[in-house]
Amino acid sequence: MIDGEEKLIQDAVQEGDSSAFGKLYDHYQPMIYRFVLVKVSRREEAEDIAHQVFLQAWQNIRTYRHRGYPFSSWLYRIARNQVIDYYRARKDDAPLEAADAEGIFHQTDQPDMSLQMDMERVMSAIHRLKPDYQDVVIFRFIEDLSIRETADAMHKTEGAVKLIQHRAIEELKRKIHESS
Amino acid sequence: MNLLETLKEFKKIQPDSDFSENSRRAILACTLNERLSPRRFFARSLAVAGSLVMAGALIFIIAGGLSATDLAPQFSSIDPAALRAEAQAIDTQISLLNVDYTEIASTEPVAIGSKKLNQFVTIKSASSSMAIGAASSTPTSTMSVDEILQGLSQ
Repeated sequence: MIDGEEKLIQDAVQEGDSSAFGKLYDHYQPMIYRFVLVKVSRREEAEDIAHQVFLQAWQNIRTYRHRGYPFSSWLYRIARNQVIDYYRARKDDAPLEAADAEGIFHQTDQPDMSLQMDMERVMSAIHRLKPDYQDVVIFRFIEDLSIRETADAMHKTEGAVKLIQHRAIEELKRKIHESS
Repeated sequence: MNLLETLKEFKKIQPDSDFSENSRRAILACTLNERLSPRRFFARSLAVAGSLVMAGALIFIIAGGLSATDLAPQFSSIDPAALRAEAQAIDTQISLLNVDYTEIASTEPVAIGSKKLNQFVTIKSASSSMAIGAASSTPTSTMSVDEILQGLSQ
């Protein structure tokens, strides 16, 4: 959460203040982009989807209601739906497993080749998880969201998130072990 | 490989700055979807309904719907037969004027100085005489039609 976020949201929602929404965009766009990138494993498509997420958020900002959840939960929900639509649209084009993680870590300027290869393996393994498992791994271990924030973003209870988290990590370890 | 440490490294992934800037600009340039309050919804509905009624009335008038109602203006004082008779009377007057002009032109060709036209007038006079002669049954003193045409062609 950024400083004065409630005021920014209020200005954006009630007055359609584009500069307020611009500040929210600056803060949340990298998170949404990473979330989408890990889910689709393709940089250009992640950019397109991230753009669509914020475009949809901006165009429907007046429908946003603060119900005690962080603003990021709303954005993540839009992003999840966009990713679902993306896979639904390209269902006939290629299977999910066809996406590879190679080439997307150049932008991190990661000089450690060993670490870069580990990241590619992890990315590939995440990609083979169920969507809910993917979401929990991204929210909890990449974006460091709390259990509550994760539950809000996923429309699940905190207990359910803890359970999914446990299973997701076990499944992820198993898939990494299989691939190595 | 430490899985959790590797996952933390994903947080270093950042979107391309040019993409972010272009995307931000494009998004903020878009207009917001309006959220209609009940009052605004009612006003919008009223405006749409008014437009439809006006359009319907216009189409009704264009299609001649007024003629089937009492609202149609009364034109009973205009009688098509009288109008036709008046138009025919005008035509008749014009015809009579033309006849007068023709008669004057055939009897007074003084202003025309052309040799050919003088000849034409002479021939025409001769033809008039011929007609008169024909009426008085003296065919030998008349010119033939071929001679008259030959004279005109010269």
